[in-house]
Amino acid sequence: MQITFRGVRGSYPVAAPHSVRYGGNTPCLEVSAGETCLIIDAGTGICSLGKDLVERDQLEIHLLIGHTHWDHIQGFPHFAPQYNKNAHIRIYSLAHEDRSLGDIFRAQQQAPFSPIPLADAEAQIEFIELQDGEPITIGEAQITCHRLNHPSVTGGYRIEHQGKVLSYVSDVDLYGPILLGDGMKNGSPEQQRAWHRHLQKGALDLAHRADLMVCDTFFLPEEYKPDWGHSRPGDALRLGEEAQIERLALFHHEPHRSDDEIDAIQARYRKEAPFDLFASVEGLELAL
Amino acid sequence: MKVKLWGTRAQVPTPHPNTQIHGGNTVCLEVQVEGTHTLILDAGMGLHWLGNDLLKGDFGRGQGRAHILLTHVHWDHIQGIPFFIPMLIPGNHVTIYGPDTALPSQLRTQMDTIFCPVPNFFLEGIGADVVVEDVEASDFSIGTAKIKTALINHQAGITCLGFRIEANGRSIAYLPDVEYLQEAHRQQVIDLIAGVDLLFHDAMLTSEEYPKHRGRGHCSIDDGIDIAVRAKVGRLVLFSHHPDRSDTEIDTILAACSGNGVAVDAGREGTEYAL
Repeated sequence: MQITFRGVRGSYPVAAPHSVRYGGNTPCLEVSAGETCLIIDAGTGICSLGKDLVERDQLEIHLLIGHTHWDHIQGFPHFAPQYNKNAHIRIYSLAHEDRSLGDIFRAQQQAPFSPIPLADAEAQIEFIELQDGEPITIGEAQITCHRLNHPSVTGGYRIEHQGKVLSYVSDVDLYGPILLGDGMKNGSPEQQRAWHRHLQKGALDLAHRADLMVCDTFFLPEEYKPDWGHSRPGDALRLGEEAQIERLALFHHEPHRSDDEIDAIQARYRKEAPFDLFASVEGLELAL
Repeated sequence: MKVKLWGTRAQVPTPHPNTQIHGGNTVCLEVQVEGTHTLILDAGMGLHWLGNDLLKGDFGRGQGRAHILLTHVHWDHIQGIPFFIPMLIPGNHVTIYGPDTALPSQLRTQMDTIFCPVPNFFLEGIGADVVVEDVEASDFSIGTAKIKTALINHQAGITCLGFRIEANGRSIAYLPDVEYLQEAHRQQVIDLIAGVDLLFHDAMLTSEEYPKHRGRGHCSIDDGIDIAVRAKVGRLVLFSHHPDRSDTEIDTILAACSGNGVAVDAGREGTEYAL
């Protein structure tokens, strides 16, 4: 499995001098599982990837969306394969109760907000809604999506290929006290306890013995807000230890976090982690 | 009058080492007129960084007053609004002007919980006082600044405005997205911008690129120069840079613009013009 980090920044794209080294594009991972082309999330990192895919004539594309907050879908209108008639793009995400995935993407890409409506895309585009915890096969990869504790409907992905495992656990508050997702919040105390157990087991299943876990570490401990739906490096370390992972990528960097601050965070948590750890950096390619 | 560039890029924010000089934030200008509240032209990602700067003054204490003028609501002109922190502080007062009676619902849609984790400050009782006004082709004043608007040809089916701001005998005009498909389109613009000191004009496409994109809402850089010369503007600022354009390419384009009968700058994030 080949992985390229195309966008590592959380919340909104950051075009500023403080973020040139680690990168300011919003989340996007390119994952090649043999001949199968997978993409996780469609932040602005997907714009440059799209041009590369057209150049490589790699137009059978599977796009896994964690959730539909702007920073995870805003690159899609600028994704070049959409405007190529030979492209076939399948978009996957957890099902929402009240709105189809296609409707959400069409709402982003319509007049008067977007110059080219999704209906005018030249590629063949299909939407596939996933169920929490149900395994699916995409090309050569086995994939499972588990619900995470974050506002709206958010899922993380476990991708397995030839015995290697990539785990994408973003955006999430891993051990937070408050349930944040749609449909979680208004149950009885017993239902809420059941949700907490379910979410923590889901995160553990995503991460179990992963060769690489890419994990939301938006907050530093002193910045943590329990109602935002993001984690701290210490949370990622805890999950990584419980799940016995091989390697951790700190991900979804806070927009104002400077390159030097990210260097310092990486150095600090490397000392604490019982496994290999690095801060995600735009452009990094690695093989599992 | 002082004008500061917070975002110069068209279509999509472009964080990249090759955009450090001219900037990768989508379009946003700050206009400060003595004795008048903060004026802001368009609300691309540059608005976030402008907002953080404003927090150092009255806006950080909930005593700020700003007026945001939107040319239209393509994402690259409004995507900074959810991240404009002064909106979250009670006591601040922000008026947003735009070209469509549906503007309030459009701005609420951008902050729908399915897209946006930030509390929707277009709903009652959250953060600053926000007023949204429809100003399709009307002239009005904000403090001592006179605002003139005109309907501009951009994309078919999209209502798009151009702005002229006059204060204390100085003037600027702002046309980030415009295409000239007929002489009438040019005349509308020339009437609006005639004789301004400073013109911010769409420079997304070169003349070589333009024919492929004809009819999609953007003119060529040479069209911008032609308009600036005909309208006798003092200085033309190339604006709305294409997302694929590197700093070096923009510098090359700028160098080729000299000797055309008008002073030309390439819009650069962080630049401040004092008029």
